[in-house]
Amino acid sequence: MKHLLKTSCLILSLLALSLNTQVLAQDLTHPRDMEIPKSKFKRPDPAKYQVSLKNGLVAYVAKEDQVPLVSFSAFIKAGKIDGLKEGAAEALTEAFLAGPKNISSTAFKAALKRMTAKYSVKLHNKWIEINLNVPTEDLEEAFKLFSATVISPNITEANIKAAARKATKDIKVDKNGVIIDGSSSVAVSKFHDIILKGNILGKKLLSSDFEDLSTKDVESFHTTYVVAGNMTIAVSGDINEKGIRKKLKAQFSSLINKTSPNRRNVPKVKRQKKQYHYFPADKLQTWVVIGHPLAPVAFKDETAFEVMNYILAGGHFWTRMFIETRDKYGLTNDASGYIEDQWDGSGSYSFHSSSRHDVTKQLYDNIMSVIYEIQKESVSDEELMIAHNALADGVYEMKFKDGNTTARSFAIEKLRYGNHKHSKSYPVRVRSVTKKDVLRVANEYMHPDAFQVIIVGEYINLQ
Amino acid sequence: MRHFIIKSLMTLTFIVTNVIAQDYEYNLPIKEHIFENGLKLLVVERPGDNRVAAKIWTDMGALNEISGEYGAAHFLEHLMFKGTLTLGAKDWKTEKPLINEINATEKAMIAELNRARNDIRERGVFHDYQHEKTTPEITRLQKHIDDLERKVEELTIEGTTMKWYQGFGGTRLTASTEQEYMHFDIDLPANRVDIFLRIEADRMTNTIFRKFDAERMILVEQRISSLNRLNTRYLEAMEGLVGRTSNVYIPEGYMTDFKNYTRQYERYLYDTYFIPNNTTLIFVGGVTMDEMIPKVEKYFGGLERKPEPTRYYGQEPLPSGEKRLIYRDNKLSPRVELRYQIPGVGHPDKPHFDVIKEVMRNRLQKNLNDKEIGGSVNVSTMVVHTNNYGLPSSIHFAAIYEDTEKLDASEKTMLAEIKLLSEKNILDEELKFAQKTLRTQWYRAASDPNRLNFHIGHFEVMDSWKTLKPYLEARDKTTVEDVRRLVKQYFIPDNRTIGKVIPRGEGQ
Repeated sequence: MKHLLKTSCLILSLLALSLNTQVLAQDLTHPRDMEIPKSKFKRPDPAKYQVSLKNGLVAYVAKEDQVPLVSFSAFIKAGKIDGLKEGAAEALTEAFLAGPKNISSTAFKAALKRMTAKYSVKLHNKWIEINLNVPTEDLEEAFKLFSATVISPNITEANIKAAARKATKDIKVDKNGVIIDGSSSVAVSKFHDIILKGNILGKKLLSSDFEDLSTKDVESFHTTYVVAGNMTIAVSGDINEKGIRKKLKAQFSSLINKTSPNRRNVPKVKRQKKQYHYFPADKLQTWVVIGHPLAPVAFKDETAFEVMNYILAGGHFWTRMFIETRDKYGLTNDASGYIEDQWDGSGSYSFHSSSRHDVTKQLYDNIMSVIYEIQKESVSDEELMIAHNALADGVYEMKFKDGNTTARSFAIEKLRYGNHKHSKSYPVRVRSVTKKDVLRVANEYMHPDAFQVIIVGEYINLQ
Repeated sequence: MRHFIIKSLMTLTFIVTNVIAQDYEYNLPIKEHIFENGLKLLVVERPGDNRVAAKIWTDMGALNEISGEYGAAHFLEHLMFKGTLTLGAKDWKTEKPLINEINATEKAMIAELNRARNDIRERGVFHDYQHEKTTPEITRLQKHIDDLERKVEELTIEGTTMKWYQGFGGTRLTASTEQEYMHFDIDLPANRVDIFLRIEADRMTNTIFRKFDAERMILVEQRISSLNRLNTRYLEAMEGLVGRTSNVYIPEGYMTDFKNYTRQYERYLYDTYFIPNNTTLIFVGGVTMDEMIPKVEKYFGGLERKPEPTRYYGQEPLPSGEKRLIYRDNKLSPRVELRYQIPGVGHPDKPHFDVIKEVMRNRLQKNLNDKEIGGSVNVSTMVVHTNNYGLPSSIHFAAIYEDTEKLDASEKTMLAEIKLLSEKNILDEELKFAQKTLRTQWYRAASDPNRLNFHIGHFEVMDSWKTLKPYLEARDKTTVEDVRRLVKQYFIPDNRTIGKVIPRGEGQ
């Protein structure tokens, strides 16, 4: 018995030792062969978030209580291009920044500071967004200030002067015409100047525009565009949803009950013949922007164009352009494509990169070669599958990743399209894009013979 | 007796309620599990989240580099995107001997570089003199490596790691290396977390250093991009003056360093630090600890614990004299700046410096304006790219101007303002406002799973994730007395560096 016990103990010890020292083999199953489940994501139902006021204002309310913060956003369908007087949108933006009529701009700024608020007003070509984020403890005060600012901004001469200062700011050059602080944004700005020359989208405001502008003009802009049917609201965060719905009704019912006014007709941006534009800058790198105006992309082609761009240069690590410029040759830190959407009309499509001066030519050639290639040959099955999943399970899901992004995404979508069909059908539309579609849109919407090539930095002959 | 029990229960209820209220403010339900091989797993469960922010943290960075190889840790991060035995290889059997030959050739080249050191060493202040630029043997060996690299290229599939992340809905793909850490990041649908574990376990054990010389040029690109910013050289000069020994004050590689990187040194860093007992996996989002343990075990359980890696022991000598930098530049706006060394995270005084930073940000701007000295005030603890370190770094008070006229008055006023903090009580409301500002900043960070993950990981490498919450709470408890004590102790002339930016030609 004693012997048996001893033997058992020995066996058990050996077993324990072997278990302890056993090293599991590393699982190196190729990702392609892994059994990765489908994402469980389902777009939230917008109806659950939507509040409709009698005056036609639509708002979205979402609870997101991981932290005690609240966000308010207003999206207005009016931008740089709108209004009868040049500079009115810019001046209204400044007025929104200055706060509501009933308090001074200094008091408004002090209140924001006291609340440790994050406040911004962004003017786009065709829309304006106002964003306010505060701790929950300041919800009451913040909500009042927010609604008062949107409904009755403090429009003054000071707003017009501030707008004039910002809008007429030029890129600084030295006495020899060399750009003092060259950068990617300078190159992009030059690109916009060139492709939008003569079009309202590229309008350059002058001091005289603001001299002609009165506070009445700005007020008229506000009365025309900041109306219930021409804007949406998003409120999210650590909130009582019921309470917020009530407050929305109480504070925004006074908005004029009007639908979207007629907008200025934006002529189609014309493509020009390919040209190279050189702007000297005294820096260690040269920035290159290559692109052209983008004709309005038809709804049926929208996702195909996104898929094409994702594979070609979609602003992430695994694109043809990134691989052929950075990964293989170390020519640049980044080379990516940008679709600039102008809402209901022309936009632009461009590729941005930078490099040390001695390899700029090679960088440019490699960028162009992948552009020509995607117009010539079909993408692979694998490329298509990656792009489908990346857009449908990645980019799309992120728009609804929490209450804050959901309320925001729905409010913007409603303002832009008037309903939520666009986001509902997006995953299906992305996944239905075929290789043929990609090849077709690459040729239909991308025209290398019309590329404007902007070079900011050292002169180099790219032709 | 009964009465006493009831009273005690009431007291207890009161305390518990208070504790819960405090917990809500910094709600950090972090769960920890340590595997047998030393790998640490931290999970913040957010039920209902469809996605998860995943990061793998390695406790290494620029602090572990040696002089002449600055930026090597950052370069290693780049190399770790170049694939493994199974990802990025078309034909590993054919590629392997080529890789081995490259390594052997590089070894011979390192030997030749060492042998010929006195011929090829740079002797000039302005990098303008070597007896010889190279040797015939170095040229021959480099050519051989280039030829071999071209053959490897034919056997390589680029971008393959990222491709699979993207193909499974991954977003926010990135990586970052600073002085005290390297981390790889991804945001994924929560039920696809296996892909992260598969790829990262492979990356930390089987990385192949492909496209070494091409990738070296990306670092050059990043460096010149940084040098293009008008203030980079000034900031680096200031940082170099504040600290004397610590890599905290050194940027991630000078131009002269990039050419020195070798596969051999990168391999040393990789083999030494990329081991399970130096690694922390952090997940914030729609996963649970219970489901993560077996998953992590499946992919990382087979990795063996290795010897504890070499740590950084450098310590700044005691502050012993005021230093002054005059930086001449015609493009950079004139400015005056005061810097003081402050302790690192883990030191009980550190959280109070965050409060001082906020108090001073408001005070300085107001008082310079009141005195009609004006300027744009900047108060910060950013050194190189990072605000917090586990070892001493510095706090800065700067005022930027259009011209040099007010610089002297500004310096005097800033020094006087700092002294005032130790002499006169700051107002309670100033303190409360600074504390509220810090809380709001924290909430904004914590609202994003990705940023929350970063802060947990950052504290883990600096000190411990367990000290993150007490750190945040300590800031709320900073008193006027704390501020006075710290100003007296730290903001002394011997611990001060003053920087001034003036145009060329002035004061020369």
